[in-house]
Amino acid sequence: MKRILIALFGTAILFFTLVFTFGTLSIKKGEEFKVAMVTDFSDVNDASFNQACYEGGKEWCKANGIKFNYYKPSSISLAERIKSINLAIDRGYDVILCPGFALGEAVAEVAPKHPDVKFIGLDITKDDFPPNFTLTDNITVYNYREDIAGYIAGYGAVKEGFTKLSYLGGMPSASVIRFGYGYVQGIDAAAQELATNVEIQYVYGGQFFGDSEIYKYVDNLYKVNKTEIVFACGGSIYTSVALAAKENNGYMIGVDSDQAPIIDRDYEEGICITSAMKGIKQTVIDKLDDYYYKGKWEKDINYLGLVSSEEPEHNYVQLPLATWRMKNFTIEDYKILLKEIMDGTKTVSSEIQDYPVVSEYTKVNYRGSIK
Amino acid sequence: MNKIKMFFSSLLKKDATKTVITSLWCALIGLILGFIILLFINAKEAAYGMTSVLGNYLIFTNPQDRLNYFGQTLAKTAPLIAMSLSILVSYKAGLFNLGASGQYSIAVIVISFLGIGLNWPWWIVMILAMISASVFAMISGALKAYFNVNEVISGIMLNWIALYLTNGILSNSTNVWDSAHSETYTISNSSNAFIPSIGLDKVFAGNAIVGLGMVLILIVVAIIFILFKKTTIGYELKATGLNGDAADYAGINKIKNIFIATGISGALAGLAAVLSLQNGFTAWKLVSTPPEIGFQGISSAFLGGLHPIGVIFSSYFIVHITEGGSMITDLGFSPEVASIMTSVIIYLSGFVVFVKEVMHKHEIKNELNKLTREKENKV
Amino acid sequence: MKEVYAIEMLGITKKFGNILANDHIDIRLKKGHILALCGENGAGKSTIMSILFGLIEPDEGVIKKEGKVVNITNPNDATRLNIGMVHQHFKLVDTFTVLQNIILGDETLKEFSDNPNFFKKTFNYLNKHLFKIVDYKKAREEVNKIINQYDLQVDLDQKIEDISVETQQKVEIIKMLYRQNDILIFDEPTAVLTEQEIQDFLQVLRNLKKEGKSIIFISHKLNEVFDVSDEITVIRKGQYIDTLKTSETTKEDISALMVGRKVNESAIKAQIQPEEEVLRVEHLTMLDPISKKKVVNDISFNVRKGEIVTLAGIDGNGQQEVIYGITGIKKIQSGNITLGGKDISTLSIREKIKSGISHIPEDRHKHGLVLDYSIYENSVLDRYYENQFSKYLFLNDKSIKQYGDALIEKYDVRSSGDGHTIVRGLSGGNQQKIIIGREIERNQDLLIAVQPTRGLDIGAIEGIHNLLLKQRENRKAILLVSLELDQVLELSDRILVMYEGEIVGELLPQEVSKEKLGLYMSGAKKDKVNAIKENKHE
Repeated sequence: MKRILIALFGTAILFFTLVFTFGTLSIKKGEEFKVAMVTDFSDVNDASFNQACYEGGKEWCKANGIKFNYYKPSSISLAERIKSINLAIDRGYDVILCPGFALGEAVAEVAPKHPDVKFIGLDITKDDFPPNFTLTDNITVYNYREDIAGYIAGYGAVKEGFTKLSYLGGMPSASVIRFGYGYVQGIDAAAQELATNVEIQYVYGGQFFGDSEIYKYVDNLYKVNKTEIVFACGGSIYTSVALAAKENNGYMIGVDSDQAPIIDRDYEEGICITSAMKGIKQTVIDKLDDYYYKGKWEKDINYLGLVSSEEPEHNYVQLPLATWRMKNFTIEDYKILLKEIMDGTKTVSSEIQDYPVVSEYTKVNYRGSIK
Repeated sequence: MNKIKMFFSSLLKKDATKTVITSLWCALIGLILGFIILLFINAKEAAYGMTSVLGNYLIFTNPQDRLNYFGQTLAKTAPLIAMSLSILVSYKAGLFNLGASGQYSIAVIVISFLGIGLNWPWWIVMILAMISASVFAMISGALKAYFNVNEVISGIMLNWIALYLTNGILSNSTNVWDSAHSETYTISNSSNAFIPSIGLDKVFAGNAIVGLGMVLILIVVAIIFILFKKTTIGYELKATGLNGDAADYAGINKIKNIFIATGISGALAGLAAVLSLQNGFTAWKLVSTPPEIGFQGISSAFLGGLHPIGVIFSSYFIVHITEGGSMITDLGFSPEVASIMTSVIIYLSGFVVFVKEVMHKHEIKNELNKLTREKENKV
Repeated sequence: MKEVYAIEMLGITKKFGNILANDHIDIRLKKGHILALCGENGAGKSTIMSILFGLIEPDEGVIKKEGKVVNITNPNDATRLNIGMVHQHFKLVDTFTVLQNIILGDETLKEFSDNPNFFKKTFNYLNKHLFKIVDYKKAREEVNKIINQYDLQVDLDQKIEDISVETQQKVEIIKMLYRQNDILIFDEPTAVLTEQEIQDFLQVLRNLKKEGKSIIFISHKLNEVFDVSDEITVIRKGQYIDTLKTSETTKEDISALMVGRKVNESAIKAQIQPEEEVLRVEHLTMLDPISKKKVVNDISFNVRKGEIVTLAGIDGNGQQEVIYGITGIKKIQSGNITLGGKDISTLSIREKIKSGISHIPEDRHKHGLVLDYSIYENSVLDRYYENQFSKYLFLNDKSIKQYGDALIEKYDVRSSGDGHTIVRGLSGGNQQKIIIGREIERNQDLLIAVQPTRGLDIGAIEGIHNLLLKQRENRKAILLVSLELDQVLELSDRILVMYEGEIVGELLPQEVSKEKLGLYMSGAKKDKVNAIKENKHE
């Protein structure tokens, strides 16, 4: 018995000394500039929102020789998000990228306590911060005119010839709703111009990932409602949509980043006709560059939308030009549309309190949430 | 001096001491294996990773953060202790409560409706949540008592029923469900249903989730300890668990005992829900698998040597390394690696029984060697 | 000339913790002889045989086979040396057939001889190391040969769960012979057999001896030992006592050597006139829960104060069920059970216990004890709820300890520690003492004792017989179930023989012979019986 005890303590002491000596040696805070990112719901390989942010951060840091790292909260809760941010701060990171509305409360909790650390929030609106919270100077938030992104995607789809369309959002957050309502407005505008009747099935998945339940629902949209195209708007929920589209020879519209290549690879070539893109990666690169080299810091909540109709790739919301697949709606038509939006000929409302007003050509069936 | 020696050697021979040492061995082997896994994945950062796992809150350099996350670890330990006790009580009575996750879910419904929806006082919510989880657990008990349905099977099935009930009911209740986040609202510290902090939040750098719950769980541990040590109920439960036929022979009412055991077990699973929701730490999210804590409770109960006081330490250990493990994602380890490693540690810890056997053999051998040596010396 | 020994075990010593199980024991088995190993329970018989079979490693001592020192560290070594053992509890797979059980672990593999040479070799190699396809036909032939040679008739295609204990034992013997063992060890082989079966078994032993096998036979039933053995080795409390030629000694000498003092074989029974009735069973009928067959069929009897009524019969003829019915462990179909004038047929077990039944159950491990409870805890197993031991749901540890200590003292329960010792570690005799003490101390009018001496040695049996007779003198009503004829004849005031769920004979011990009892038990003789005896107040 005694020997067992001695062996136990011996091994334990040896093990712990070994681990702690080498372990603590490698904890070095360092003075250099470092950038970290904290994820919200999904991981950095979600082929969408988090991935775009991660790629942006990684690309910029690599190009500038700066250390970059990401933190994933161990569970989906406020306390864990706060912990992840705290950990990043503790490890000496100077700028923390916070993509996703879910991080709003966490940033509000941590930022005031660490004025020397900068927080770049993406897609966080005023409503996502706690009520009565005034943004501190070290927080800057970039939101997008998703309504415009949705608008151009919907407009294009109808112009391309689709008349039965569906919308599948993730969780009904402000940005997801803006996408959806913009999509409805764009569809309606095109339907009026073409004077054709269109029908929209409008639903939220209740989550940012696909599963069998979501798949069955979308499969029904194609089979029962005869939907031709589904706008999959929410993280990696596209997986269920792409699978259902493949099974039913249907089409889909991607979101956030250009999802055509990955869907071509994983499902079937040509399913994804376009994507309602937000320039998240671009924003991350631009804003890090601005801050690091020019010291430019736009505190407060900013909205990013269109900046150019002639060079659409500089816009913060856009359709992908590299994988342009629409034939009836050409890149030229697209540029004209952008111009009309920018000069006010066409108005896109970013209002999300009420359903968008539509003409008699458009029938929208609001179905609530799958889960 | 001799007396001290005597005391220690008598301590070493005690069965309880053996259990403790066995558990320590298991934990240590688990940790070493976890370390080897880290070495394989990223040898350069493995030592640092392990330091994170073992250090948990200690790897924060800021003392406030340390305190804060020490508190958080404690607060997360409390529900696991309750869950371990739930497994322990049923196990002692010869039942295996695999339905703890389901009972947890049912308690969540009650907590959400009464606590979030109606803002009732925390202790009423707590009691009602425990009662409803207890009643739900007794379904398994009734099936066992009257139809001899194996409680493991009915427990697993009821887990899924409870899961879908909870998902279905909560996500359709407007004043409880936060549809933007796809989860229930969190109980805030201004709510009536929030378990009071009784000043403990100040001790832990303002971390309000530490509070009266800590005291409550210790009281519950004491109650369970006394139940098995000192009461006729405990005597009956243990007799039924150890030898059902002898219990029958002695006129112990088996059916009554099944209800008591499942009832207490369910109430404790409900308490686990109370301690993780009513301190505002978590909310119920739409999930497609039964809550993990119900299964962690099993590991923790066994690692704790199936002893009410043992599970305090085993639960803390499990939470500590899980928390620590979740922080190694920035070292080039993916979150999946962290959870694989912590699971390896936890499941190896469940090997207590096996290691005890090995130790026992070793001990006999040693004693024999000693005897022969003594004999030789005499000659 | 030096004698050839099949097996010699010299100076074997084995210690478990503080207990010296074997202290320099010598065993010498002559080739072709039967050596009986005698000793009380806990004397170390099983330990030394486990050492020979490689289950336990000795601390000291050597084992020689035919004069050569051999090293046995595990059962495989023993098998290689052709040593076989039939354990007290058989090691058979219930759901396998007899044939499968016999060849298990030593299967005759199929040989492919019809194929061309190359394939034959390959197939045979693969079969030996990979597929292991069993050649049942060939195995059956081999087994049948053994069966005929030793006259061990069994049906090879029945499943173990469907055959009787006696047949299972035959299977174990065939198993050893199939492995061509020539040194056979039997650990208490007759403990589970009835009188007639024992005779058959002894005949098998003689046959084996005739074929040149060397046998070690562990038993404490001296009748059998003297019937069949050539030598007797006696060990006591781990010590080697003596080895004697059977023909040159007597039963009395051997039992004195075993116990260490002289034993009174038959206890003296006081003359007692039975008094008023305590238990009355009328028209009791019980069904098997699954097959719905009548396992107890319309039986009536009573037990009066100051008498011992015995339910005799071959095991499995409904005696056990009657007891289960009376104590409430199993449901009764119809009939009345009256205890002290009160109808208790429908009461719960607890209420029955409370209304005045003490019950020494047949299976002490299954019903009598919670093996992982301490002596203290077991000593109040069926009375912990009484006011004396608990109040408001809380156990009164102090009074339980006091009571347990008194029990330990009075019934001489021996353990390595105090009353906190876990009962599992106690010897069978000491475990039984706890149960008997507990039940007698409850001081109820009716004492039910089911095979109270099962598996115990002579010394312990004597003690228990005396305790039961003492209870009779104290005017308790005693209902005994026993399979052992000696015990039945020695203790009973009335013998009720059960056969297939019915009472087929009511006999008085002073008027009946063993042979006649045997006829009733085997169903060859049946009377119409109503075993309710009224007191005639003359």
